[in-house]
Amino acid sequence: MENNINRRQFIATATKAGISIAAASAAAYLLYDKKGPPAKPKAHDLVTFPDYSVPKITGQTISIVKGDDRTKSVDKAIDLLGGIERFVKPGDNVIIKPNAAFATSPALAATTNPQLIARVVRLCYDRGQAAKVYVTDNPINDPASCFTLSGIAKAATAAGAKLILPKENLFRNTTLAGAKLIKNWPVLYKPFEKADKLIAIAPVKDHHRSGASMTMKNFYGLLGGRRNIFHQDIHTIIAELSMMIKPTLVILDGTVSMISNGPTGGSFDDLKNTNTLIASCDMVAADSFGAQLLDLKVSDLPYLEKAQNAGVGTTDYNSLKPKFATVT
Amino acid sequence: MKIVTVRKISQVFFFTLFIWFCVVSTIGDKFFQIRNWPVNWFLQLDPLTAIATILTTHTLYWPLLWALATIVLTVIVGRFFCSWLCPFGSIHHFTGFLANRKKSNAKKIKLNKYRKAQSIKYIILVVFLAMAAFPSIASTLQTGLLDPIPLVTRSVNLLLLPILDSSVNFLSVTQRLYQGAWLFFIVFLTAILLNLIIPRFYCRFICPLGALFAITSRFAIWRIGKTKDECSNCKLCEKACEGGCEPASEIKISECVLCFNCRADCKDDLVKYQTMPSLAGQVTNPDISRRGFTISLASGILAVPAVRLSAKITTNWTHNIIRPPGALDEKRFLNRCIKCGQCMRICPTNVIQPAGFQGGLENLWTPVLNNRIGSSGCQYNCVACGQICPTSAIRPITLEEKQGTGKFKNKGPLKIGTAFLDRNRCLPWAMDKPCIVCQENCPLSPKAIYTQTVFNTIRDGVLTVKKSTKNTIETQETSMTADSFTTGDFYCAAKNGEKAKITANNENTIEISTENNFKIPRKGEKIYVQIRLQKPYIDIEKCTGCGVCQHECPVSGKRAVRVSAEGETRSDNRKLLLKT
Amino acid sequence: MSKDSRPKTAEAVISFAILIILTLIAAAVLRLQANPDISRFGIEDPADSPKATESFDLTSLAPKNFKPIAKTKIYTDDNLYEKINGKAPLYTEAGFKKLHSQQFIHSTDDTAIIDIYLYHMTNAKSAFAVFSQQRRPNSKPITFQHQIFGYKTTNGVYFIKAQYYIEVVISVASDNALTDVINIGKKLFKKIPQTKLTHFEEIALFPNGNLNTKTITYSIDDPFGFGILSNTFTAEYQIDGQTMLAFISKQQTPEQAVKIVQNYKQFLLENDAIKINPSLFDLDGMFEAVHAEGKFAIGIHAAENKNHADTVAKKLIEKVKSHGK
Repeated sequence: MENNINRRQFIATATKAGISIAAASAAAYLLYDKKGPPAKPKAHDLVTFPDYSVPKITGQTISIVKGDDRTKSVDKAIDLLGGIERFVKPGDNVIIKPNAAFATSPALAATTNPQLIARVVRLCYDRGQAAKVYVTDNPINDPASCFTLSGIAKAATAAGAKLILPKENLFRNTTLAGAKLIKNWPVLYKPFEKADKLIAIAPVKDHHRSGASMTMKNFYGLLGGRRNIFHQDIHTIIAELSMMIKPTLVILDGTVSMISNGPTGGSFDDLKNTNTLIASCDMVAADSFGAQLLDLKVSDLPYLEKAQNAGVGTTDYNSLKPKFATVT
Repeated sequence: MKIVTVRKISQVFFFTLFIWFCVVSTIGDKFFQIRNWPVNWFLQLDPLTAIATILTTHTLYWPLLWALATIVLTVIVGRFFCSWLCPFGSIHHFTGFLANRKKSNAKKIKLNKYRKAQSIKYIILVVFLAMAAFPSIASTLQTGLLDPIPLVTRSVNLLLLPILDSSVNFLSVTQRLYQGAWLFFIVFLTAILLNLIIPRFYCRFICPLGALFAITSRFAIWRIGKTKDECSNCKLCEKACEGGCEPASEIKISECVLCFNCRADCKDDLVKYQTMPSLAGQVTNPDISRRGFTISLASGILAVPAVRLSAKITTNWTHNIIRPPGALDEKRFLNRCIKCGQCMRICPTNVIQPAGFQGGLENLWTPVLNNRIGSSGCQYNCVACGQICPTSAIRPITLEEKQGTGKFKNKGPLKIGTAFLDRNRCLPWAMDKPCIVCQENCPLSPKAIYTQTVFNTIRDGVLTVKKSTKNTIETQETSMTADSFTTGDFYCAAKNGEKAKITANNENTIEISTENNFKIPRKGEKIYVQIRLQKPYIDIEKCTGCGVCQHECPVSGKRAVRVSAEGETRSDNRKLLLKT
Repeated sequence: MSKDSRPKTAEAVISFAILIILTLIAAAVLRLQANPDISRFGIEDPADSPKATESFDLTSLAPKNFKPIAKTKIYTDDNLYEKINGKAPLYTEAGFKKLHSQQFIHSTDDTAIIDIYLYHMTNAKSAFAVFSQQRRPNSKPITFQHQIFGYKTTNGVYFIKAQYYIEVVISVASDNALTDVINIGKKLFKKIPQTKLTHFEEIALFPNGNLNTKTITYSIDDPFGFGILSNTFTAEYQIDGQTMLAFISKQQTPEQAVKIVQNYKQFLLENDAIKINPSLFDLDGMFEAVHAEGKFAIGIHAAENKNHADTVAKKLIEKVKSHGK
């Protein structure tokens, strides 16, 4: 009797012991690593931005509007290219990429003008019948402060857009094929993943390192990580950014240009009323024209040539037969 | 032969083997040097290291497969490791015995009774494993702080051996030094002295490895037990009980360390090692409540993010945490380093040092290079640290990989940091004194330090010629110190910049060398006493951060050339240059 | 039941088994270390260093009854002093690249050790520099094929081939031992590739009469410590028991040769030498002659006799002059 109990107990214990040993051995076998860790951690899954561009229409690639009222200028500029309906289809999710780099007042024109953003948001909703418009950027200063102080947050939300702050979990790594610099680098990707169209709106600004910050340089705001390392080769990175992303439309706001002490400015003396607004499907052409507003030549901005050589666009904007207009 | 005697032989054997492995951990091929001694064997047998690294890395690094043998054996026979193999356990066993041998049996029995506090070790274990287990939040390997094998390894290697060897210098030519070794001393001494209060204090209350064995020995097929429920209840079986597991009454199987003293001490031969449970009853489960478990699990899980709030491994990283060549990037490194100190022991120059708290809490006792200690910087022809690292926190790189030759030619040499020149402290830069010690000692070819020659007029070095001959100039001033310009570094320059080396001088005359057709200035003209300086520059593209320059820099306090971790190959986000 | 009835058989068997396991562990550990290979650590085995790309296996040169003590070791600038100590600068200053070193020991007589030193120098001239600067007195010339720069002593052979300077020495002095050593030298000589013959034009420019050819020496820098000459061959002349050194220092251009001669003269004058004629000086009772001829700065150093110095100097000038034609 007692023996029986003992035997049963022994079998139970031995079975448990056997299972433990088997489990430990199986785990060891499955997890066994003969090679040791690699020199670098496993690369992240890489992403690529969708292509947001719309089909070309000859003669309707770039428009240049003179005037001191941004709202009127942007209406006109977009109309000259075929209207917002050409770019935004009903039900589209549109993402707007302003330059919100600094936590400064909109009056200083270091960031994209909030009224201009609001106007484009409304155009998307009212005439383009967009489903949703988002506004996002990865600024240099603290993101929340940048959006608030630049007035972009208030204006965009009032117009019905949703503001997306660049949270860490929205970044993914990307590699641009054939690139020298953008290799396995984190970019602000998640907000763009689901968008159908991308409209980028940038001010015309003097930029100490690169010469000028316009629509192409605006996409620096997509980069995450310790991106300032790229300032060691600024022209290449700007050209690569223009290769990395294909926006639907870029709007270059030269109504007021920052002609000195860029890209931060800080004084009204740094600003000049240049009364020009450009809408373009070709950002190289837009920036090539914009350079004039800063009294620069195309050759002063090597990134333009680099982008042109990469097939992003043309520096010879006249070849695109720009549409000109003046609004009052 | 009695099993207790065999147990003692085993303890002496493994303890001696362990000490021998510590002794031979010096580079060299003599029998008392590293050769092929399996000096990591005890660390490899340690299942806590294996399990914790599995939790952090989701792999079992092959040398740690030994731990499976320990686990399997423990599952079958119980916690044999603690009383038969563990060198730290043997130290406690022996000191506990020494401390209490003169006490009465009654007192001994009282000392060895089970205490509720013995469950603390489970809490420690759970906290450590929880810290390791949750990668989605953050994981870190901190078992090495209290895991007895790394603890005793570093205590012997980095504390006891350097002290013992200091008078004979048998193990090393120069005294081995380890920064913050006092902390090893305090931990080690405290652990030992606690045996005066309760024998095997560390094993019973603290040891996380013991706790792990306690859990794995639950289903042990053989176990200690009484063959009769009733006995004379003399409790002599508990007089030398190493585990404090109370074999006289309901035995706590998880606390039993298989010392077999109970079996030897039972007058009536009622205590047996058997497959049957004790007739006096047994408790197999470790004594930790669900509540205690949950709380320690939660604290462990939250502790890591709490520590990581300091951002010490991301943006707020510490520039002087220079890791040995081959170290993984910081995150993966902290998932593997068990703080055993083997790299610090083997390093031929003694430049690898245990970190203190400067790099954050997690960094304690992990390897960092300190170029002010030791006999040189990181040697160009050495990869010993990676070859010895038991967990591959420092990868076992080859010389080819380190130097960027052979099949690693495209990758270039491995950088562990970058040397920065402090021009405010550098003798030629800041003080106009000739010195290119750093340049001379740079082990690379071509050198990462180069110089540019300049001539600077020294203080009070503008003089007026009183009289001059072919190679001597007498000055109006009599302010020179005799023979002070004869080092070969001083030149006499004329107004037009032409100069000649000064070969001798006294208070008011200068003799110059005539090799350069220097036109001797005439009476009334000004001459300039100049010093020839070779100012060092660092070629950031070439510098590997080995620290030899910093080690040699004659500015002995805060060195004028210092290595900082920027640019280290292992972290992409600490790049200095946009390398394309 | 008395305690003495234990140990029981089972206990004894288990005890015994455990002791056997411990013994096996000890045996395994001992076996593992018995094959020391520390090359994986990198540091103490420069033979594995990538610097030493060109490699000679010297172990196969062991004569009968000799065996290698260890595998061939390679030394570089960094550790040459470990092998040859204070002699290292002699080599490093002359353009040392690396040293292959091999030792053989006699199988029965452990006092008989053969040392092979194969110095890889920058070029033939730097090999000749270290060869000539430490030529042993009382040595006899030796030839392998057409090689002329070699000699033997009672226990070793020393020679150059191409950019290599080779020493093979044995620790015992006997005819057999010397034969072994010479044979190794011959084999090595064959083994070393040579693309063109070693030839130094300067050596042929020393006038023959009274020339001690064994003393022809080459220095990359100034052999006399004046800090003036460079690329200099010297040779000792002995006339009536009085000695002098003739020197030939070839420069890049004739202008440089003139400049060197000027500096030499100036140096002599600065050191209170007395000018006897434009190219002959008396420096503290020793005579110095110096002259520029084409690209060559030539002369006589430390002559004990003024007339002898003058004679040899004239011959030297004449020979160099005719060489230019």
